[in-house]
Amino acid sequence: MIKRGTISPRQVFFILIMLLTGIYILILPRHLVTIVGTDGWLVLLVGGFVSSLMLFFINKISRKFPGKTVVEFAPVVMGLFLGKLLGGILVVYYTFLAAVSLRIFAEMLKSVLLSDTPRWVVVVALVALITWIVQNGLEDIARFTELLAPIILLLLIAAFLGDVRYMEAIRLRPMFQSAALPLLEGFLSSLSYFGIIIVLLMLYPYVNAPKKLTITSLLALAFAVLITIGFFIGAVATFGIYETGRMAWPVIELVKMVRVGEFLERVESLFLSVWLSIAFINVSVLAFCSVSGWTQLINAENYRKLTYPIMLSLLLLSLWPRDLLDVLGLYSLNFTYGFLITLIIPFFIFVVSQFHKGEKNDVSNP
Amino acid sequence: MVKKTNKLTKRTQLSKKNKEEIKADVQPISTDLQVNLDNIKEVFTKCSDIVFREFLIGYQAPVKAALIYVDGLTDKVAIHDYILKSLTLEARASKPNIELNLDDIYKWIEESTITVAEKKQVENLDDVMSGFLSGDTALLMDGWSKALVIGTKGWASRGISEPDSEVVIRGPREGFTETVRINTSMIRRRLHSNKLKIEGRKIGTYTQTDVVVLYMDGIVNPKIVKEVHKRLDGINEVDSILETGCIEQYIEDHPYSPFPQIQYTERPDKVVAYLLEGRVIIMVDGSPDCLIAPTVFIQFLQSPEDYYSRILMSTVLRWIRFIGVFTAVTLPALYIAITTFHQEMIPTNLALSISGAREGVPFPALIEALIMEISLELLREASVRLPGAIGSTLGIVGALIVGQAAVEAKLVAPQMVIIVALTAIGSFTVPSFAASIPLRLIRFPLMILGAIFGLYGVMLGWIGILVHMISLKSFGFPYLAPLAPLRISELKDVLIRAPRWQMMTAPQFRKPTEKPPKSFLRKPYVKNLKGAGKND
Repeated sequence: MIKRGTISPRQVFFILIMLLTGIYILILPRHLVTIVGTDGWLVLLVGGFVSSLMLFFINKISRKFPGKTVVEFAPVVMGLFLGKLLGGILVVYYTFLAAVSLRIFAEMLKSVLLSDTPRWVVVVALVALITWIVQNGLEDIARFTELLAPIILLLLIAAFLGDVRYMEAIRLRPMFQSAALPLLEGFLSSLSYFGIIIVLLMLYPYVNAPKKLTITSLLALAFAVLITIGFFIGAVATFGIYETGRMAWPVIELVKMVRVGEFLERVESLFLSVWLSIAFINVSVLAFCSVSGWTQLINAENYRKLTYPIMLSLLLLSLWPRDLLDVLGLYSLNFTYGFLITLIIPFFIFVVSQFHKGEKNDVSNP
Repeated sequence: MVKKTNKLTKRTQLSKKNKEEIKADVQPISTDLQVNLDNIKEVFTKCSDIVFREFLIGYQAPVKAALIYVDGLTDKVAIHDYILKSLTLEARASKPNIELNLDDIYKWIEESTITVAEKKQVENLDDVMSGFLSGDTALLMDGWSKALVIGTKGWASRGISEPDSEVVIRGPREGFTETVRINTSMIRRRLHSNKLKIEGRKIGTYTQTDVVVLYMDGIVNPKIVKEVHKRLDGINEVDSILETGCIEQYIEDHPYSPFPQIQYTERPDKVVAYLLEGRVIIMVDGSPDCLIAPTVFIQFLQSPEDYYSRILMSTVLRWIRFIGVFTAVTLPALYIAITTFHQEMIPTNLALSISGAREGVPFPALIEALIMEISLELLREASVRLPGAIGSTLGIVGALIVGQAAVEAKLVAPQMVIIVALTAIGSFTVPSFAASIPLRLIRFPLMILGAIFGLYGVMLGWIGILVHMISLKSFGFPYLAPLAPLRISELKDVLIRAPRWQMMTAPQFRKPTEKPPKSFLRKPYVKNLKGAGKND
């Protein structure tokens, strides 16, 4: 078992931001535009607000059982069978998210940069590196994130600002034209999109100052909502809803248009390295959650032995869909039903845990 | 496998046995001088440099005595004038007011006649022997079961000179020498503080090398000192310590990593600065380098000059070094990746001129780059071993003539020569040689990755480098420290070089018992200066 209480709230902040504005932002604008048109920013905003409710549940239940991950305390609260079942669902969900992020990144890379390289080569190389850092532990992942996240965020903001001159407010109209049903669907999508913050349930015991996490995670969520809305509005205001709906990678197209002066064009390679780092961080964190989750689920001693089989299955899982459309079809499942996992499970555990006394053991000596 | 472990345990048992035997073998000093001398002479047969000098002290009832020292390790003037002369001529002339029992005579000799400052009483022959082997002089007297070891160390040593490997434009020109005492004196001269602790020990079964641990009490984190001592204790059984490099390999956290986790330096000013930052310094007799622990990677990109020259300039120079490192590691890989996979990224005019120049070059970009980079490394290695003048000639011949000829013979494209030259220049901006080697070598795997995966490979390579560097630790401290984990208050010595008056907050290695006063963080005299200007 890895030592707990070793990463700082600031590192968690960056991890959460990287997850929330990470890989799925590549496909989010198109998905939203096809459902609610220009009203995507509205559902994102509302989704962000409701997600803070989710954060509230996550923080409450994690604080009640300091030093324990959700997979460990769920059986205590819910009874062995139901607890293990809920933990298992979450772990499978992490694995699913990791595999899909990996594949989405690979598809993006293939279509933008490496059109001739076989997909598996790209994925295998990346998974090898991710296995390495997962073996090194969460502390290393957190440091890596902390090292690169500020640079990534600066570059993302710079890309947005660099595109402002192409944006036209008129393309954002008409507003508030969507019907109730599409609005609901968009709202659930955005809720599921922000639902990735549920990894916090696995990270909690590793943080050295858990008390600060409430404010940290809220800040991360707010920041991420801003960035996401920014990129959604950016894409729509630049391309209009019809073109955005037809593009494979609206966000990548957006950063492709950035020019520095008259001479420095085609900075998308820079942004590909940004997205490589994002993908690396995302998949590492999700894979870590998945690996440590499986370890705790079967009460194994050491997570290192489980890393290889799980990473291998992650690799196979990510190579399973045939093409991009399959991946997107798979992921739209998450857009539609993800909230069932990310909102309902914490809520359920929260409600049941109200009848439970909780534990007061020290985080530093679990 | 089983056999091997058996052998190993046998060996350790043997060596343990030997040690115990040696310990049990501690010879007491006999009251008969002749017996002692015979014993020592028997141990040191066929050692022509050991000098035995027998003589008499006093004239009424003379005491037989003997001096033993190693010729060449001792200061002969001191032995003649302050030991022999004092014990024979001056002792006879003085009229001590003591009774003539033997104990008082020995005491009188020890306390009143020998006119050398350093002396030590020892009680067994082994201490006598190790005493004179390290350059002191042993005095044995008949009828006395003790002996004196008198400090007469003095051997020919190199003078203090400017360290060649760490040249600065501004700053002291002194460098350490091979004698550890001279080195500690150079530290003490700069640091007149009772907080400076200098702990000594001997390591190496045969060499018995003096190893000295320096730190600032009250500033250093005591855990680091403890850890250093623990690691040094662990290597007590090695045969020999010839250089700090030997110790470095034993006590490093990750000896198989390409990156050095302990820095070495020849500059006393640098050592003092690091001591004040709360680090531990290890010095070894016989080596002009000393080790700094713990070390973070960013240290290798800092030069003492940064702190002596002006704020803005040193900040700019630091960024130039960062660019240099990035160039040295990545540039050839980027060139290969872009010319092989992503031609569309190059502006059209440049792409045309590159492809025009590459016309007739028979190799793919990777082979071309490998040829050039390997010949660059050859050249550099060759010129390191050559004396100055010839070395620079070789540089000119290699860089100019061979490069020119290779381009004309259409073996390589002229752009490649530019790229290779830039990587070489980039790697020379790293102030530390120890850190520039791994940076030079890392670019080869990156080039291969770039040739296989294109830009994606170069990025993967960088991520791999970072993953590795993040996992490194030096004495328990993360290697990429102020960057990952991020310590914003320490970035002022990484991304910029903050003014001196803002540098007084403690770096992570410091566990100061007293906090510096807040006024330290302001530039103390600015206000007064301005006020004075107005009043005048």
